[in-house]
Amino acid sequence: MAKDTIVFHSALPLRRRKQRLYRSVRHHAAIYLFLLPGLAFFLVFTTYPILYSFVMSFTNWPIMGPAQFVGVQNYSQVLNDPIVRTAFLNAILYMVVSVPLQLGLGLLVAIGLDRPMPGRTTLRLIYYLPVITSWVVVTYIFQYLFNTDYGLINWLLMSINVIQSPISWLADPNKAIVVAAILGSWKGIGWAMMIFLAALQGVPVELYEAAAIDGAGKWHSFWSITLPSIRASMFFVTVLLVMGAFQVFIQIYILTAGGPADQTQVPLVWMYQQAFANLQFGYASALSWLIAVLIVLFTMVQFWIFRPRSLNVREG
Amino acid sequence: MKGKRFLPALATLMALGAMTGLTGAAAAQRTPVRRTSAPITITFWNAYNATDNEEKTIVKDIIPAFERSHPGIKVQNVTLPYSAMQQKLLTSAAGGVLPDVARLDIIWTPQLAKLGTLMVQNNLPGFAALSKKVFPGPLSTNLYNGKYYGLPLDTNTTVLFTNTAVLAKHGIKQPPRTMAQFIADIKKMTGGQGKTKTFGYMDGGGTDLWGLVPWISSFGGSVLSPNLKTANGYLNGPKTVRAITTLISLSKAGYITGLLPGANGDLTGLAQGQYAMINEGPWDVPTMQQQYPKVHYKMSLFPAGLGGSRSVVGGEDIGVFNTNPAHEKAAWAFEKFMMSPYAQSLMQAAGQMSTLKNLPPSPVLKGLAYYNVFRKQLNTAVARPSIPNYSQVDTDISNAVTLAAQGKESVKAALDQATQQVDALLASN
Amino acid sequence: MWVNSRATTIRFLILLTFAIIMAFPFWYMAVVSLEPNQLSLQYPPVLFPQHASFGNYVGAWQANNFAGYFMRSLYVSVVSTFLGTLIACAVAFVVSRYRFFGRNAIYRAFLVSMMIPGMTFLLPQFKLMETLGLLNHLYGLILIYTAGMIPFTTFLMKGFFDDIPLELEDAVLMDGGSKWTLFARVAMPMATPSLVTAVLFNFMGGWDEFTMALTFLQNPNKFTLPIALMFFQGQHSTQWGEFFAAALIQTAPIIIMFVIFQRYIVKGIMAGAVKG
Repeated sequence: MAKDTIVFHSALPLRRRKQRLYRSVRHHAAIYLFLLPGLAFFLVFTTYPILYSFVMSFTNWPIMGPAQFVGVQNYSQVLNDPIVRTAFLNAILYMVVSVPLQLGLGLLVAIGLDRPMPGRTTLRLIYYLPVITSWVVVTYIFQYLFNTDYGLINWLLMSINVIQSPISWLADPNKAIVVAAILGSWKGIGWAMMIFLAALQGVPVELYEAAAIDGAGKWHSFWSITLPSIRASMFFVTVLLVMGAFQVFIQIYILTAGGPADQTQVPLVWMYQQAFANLQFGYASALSWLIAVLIVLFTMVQFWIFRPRSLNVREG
Repeated sequence: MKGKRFLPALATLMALGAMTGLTGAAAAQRTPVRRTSAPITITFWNAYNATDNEEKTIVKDIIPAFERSHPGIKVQNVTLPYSAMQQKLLTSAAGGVLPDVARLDIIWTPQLAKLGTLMVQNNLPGFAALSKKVFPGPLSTNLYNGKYYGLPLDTNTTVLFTNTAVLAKHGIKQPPRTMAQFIADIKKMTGGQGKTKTFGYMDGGGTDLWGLVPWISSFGGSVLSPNLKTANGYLNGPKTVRAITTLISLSKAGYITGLLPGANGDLTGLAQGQYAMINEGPWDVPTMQQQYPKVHYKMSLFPAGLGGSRSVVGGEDIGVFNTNPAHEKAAWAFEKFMMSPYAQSLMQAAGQMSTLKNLPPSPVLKGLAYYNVFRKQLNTAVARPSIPNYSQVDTDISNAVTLAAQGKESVKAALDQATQQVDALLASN
Repeated sequence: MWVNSRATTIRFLILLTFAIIMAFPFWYMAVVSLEPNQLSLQYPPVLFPQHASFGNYVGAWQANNFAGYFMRSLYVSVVSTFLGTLIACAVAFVVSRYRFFGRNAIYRAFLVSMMIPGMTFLLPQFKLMETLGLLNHLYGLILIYTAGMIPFTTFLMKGFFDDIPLELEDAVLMDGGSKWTLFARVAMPMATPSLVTAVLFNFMGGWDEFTMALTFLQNPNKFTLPIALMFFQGQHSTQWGEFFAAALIQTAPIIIMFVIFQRYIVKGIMAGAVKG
């Protein structure tokens, strides 16, 4: 890793060797000064709780009194739980619906609002409004919109005679997950838009001009200039959205609480109920580590998809 | 990124945290120190409604009155959002920083008692007398392993609300009194299509025990044996099966809504004519007066079946947490004060139904005559099982009923399976 | 390039149509919040306010010392956003630009930490806060929010730093500038659009956070705005009009911040920074 640190060339005079060593130490000292505050916060407030919960996932983790070591019992319980399987399948359905929606629409909206246009600020704000509204509040609105008997969606569909009798949106597992995914996407498009907007500012205008001179169409410019130039941001957004899909919580917790009969269960709702309603903290922390491992696997796939073609790293 | 191996990062992360982890764990052994000097300040946690009169009455009337009559004790009121209070209680129990006294949802009391955080109250001075003055159903929610861990602070139950206009439209003179009449009226009052559909009945509690217990108990069935040791022969007994079968077949035939998620409603739906009847608590009555002053509705006891007219007990308990003798004594004084007719009347006026069987007449209770039907219903109302893993039992039963309602299993088979799960849970206590 | 008024009009219309769909749930919230006596949601649905008044807004603001909650949230969010963003930018900068021992390990550890559901930490974090004497202090909340922002912001800013071409910094290096000069005078100004994004996201994170605030604060006179918002949702019934009004009041500072800050998300900043 640190191939640039110390390079000994015995042919060099001692003074220059010393000078190199000194420069290398100074180089690293400066870098670690940059890292110090971030690492300190990370070790105390993040790493310690993570480690604690990892250790406790091998115990019965009673919230009071001494914990008992139970080996991998929590993990085998989680892995043999049919509801965990349902929960992960639902999370994957949520991901399949919500990630492309947010990624695609977020990028399109960002490209649309990148260039000057009348009302640009207002439009940007409208797309960003869902992002800043409280999760709890918007979930209640969606619950009302999709209510079977007096929801606005069924009322509209019946008014224009698309359907004759109301659809039970939230009583059917697949429909309920899709409703939650639509809610998540609605809330997330503005978020993705912001990141893409910021990234698009970094694409040098000269590249487009050069391409235009070469007679490249807009479509070609998009594929060969825009997308490659915001690769890191695409990667960031995708990784975060996939992570978010596996960590979907409030939407499901309020819309269905995992019901009917745990058919719309998702990993975090199940975990929350196990921990704070049933006091199975050991089970819950084992489940959270399983969630983490799955997200790591998905992220590795994304690292491979978005792997850089050239390194943008400064040597020395 | 040079290497693509990602999992080693997990290991690195742990190694990084090892030092902080060890020092932190050592420091966490320290037990919290509580203040002991006089005057004593006790902390009272609750989830009273902060936007209407409940919290105001506590802070402006009841606590000042208590502090005047108990010099040397100060009460700090902490009102919390209801939806997050259980989580906060459990986290604080883990950290050893619980309050001195708290108003607890009746389903949390056994859970906190099992954790050993609540003080046993049986032998406290005055407990025996107080426990005889309150309704038996709410009192039973404080019982865990034969001991009392609190007193019922406020209570509620549900009664049958009927939309008078819908009733008149179908030539029905009064709300149903018997189960047979109830079922006939549900069918009669169902009508319309699509946007104008009216359901005969809204099952506001869904498949939770909150919604199921009135049906089960009025049919003469029950969830658990009287000693709370088994579900076998009760949850899957013939009376319970008949109750659930009736409910589900009415739902499948389109007479009842609300059994499955996404169709929940309250008194608003009754006012707007989406359903003719609903089993509901007293909390929406003031709302209705404000928002739908012109809509008329009747409140009556839940229709009587083989088991009589039975509804479900809701409400809150008040319990004292184990701290130190001085704080426990002050907290118990506060609990007793909260149970006094003075405090109970003031809180009932603010919307918290009193648990006292005999509440003396008081000028503050004027205009609250609608509580009478609820108080009458309370004499026969049934509490949900008072057990530490209540939420898990509730989930298991709710899931079984849902599967039956979706037609995936027969009612008997679903309840048999739930009985097995519940019995396994009861055995683990 | 592409300055074509017809194309712009079409683009505008498409974006406007989609924006109307996006704004609808928000619009509905506003309608309910303007309706007095709106204690529940109506059927058939009401799409325009019929007796518009600001009664619910006045009620929400006056209930429970809402102003106090507002100011505390502002304090906590502003300080933690400043700390979290600055600290994370420093980490992101060196991770993006230099090779050093532990570089990949740190980056990956940050990434992995985001993959473990935060809910798992609630109990350990509570014990940690208690041990450090940070319970029931707003600065305790600031510290834990700052820590929460760091991995995410590092990941976000590293992405942006990676996309900035190296050549633009070389001039400064030639002049013998230190890493700090490079960071403060070149990298940060060039990253202004992304910095604005990070600040907006972090501020929102602090402004909206409910679970940790409720868990770690014990005294009502320390509670923050998201807790106050949840008070409008009662155990048995919710005052929808005031609940939505309070939620809209809560969004106001972020809307103002957004309108001010989004100006910096335009082309030309990078070029200016390099010349300057």
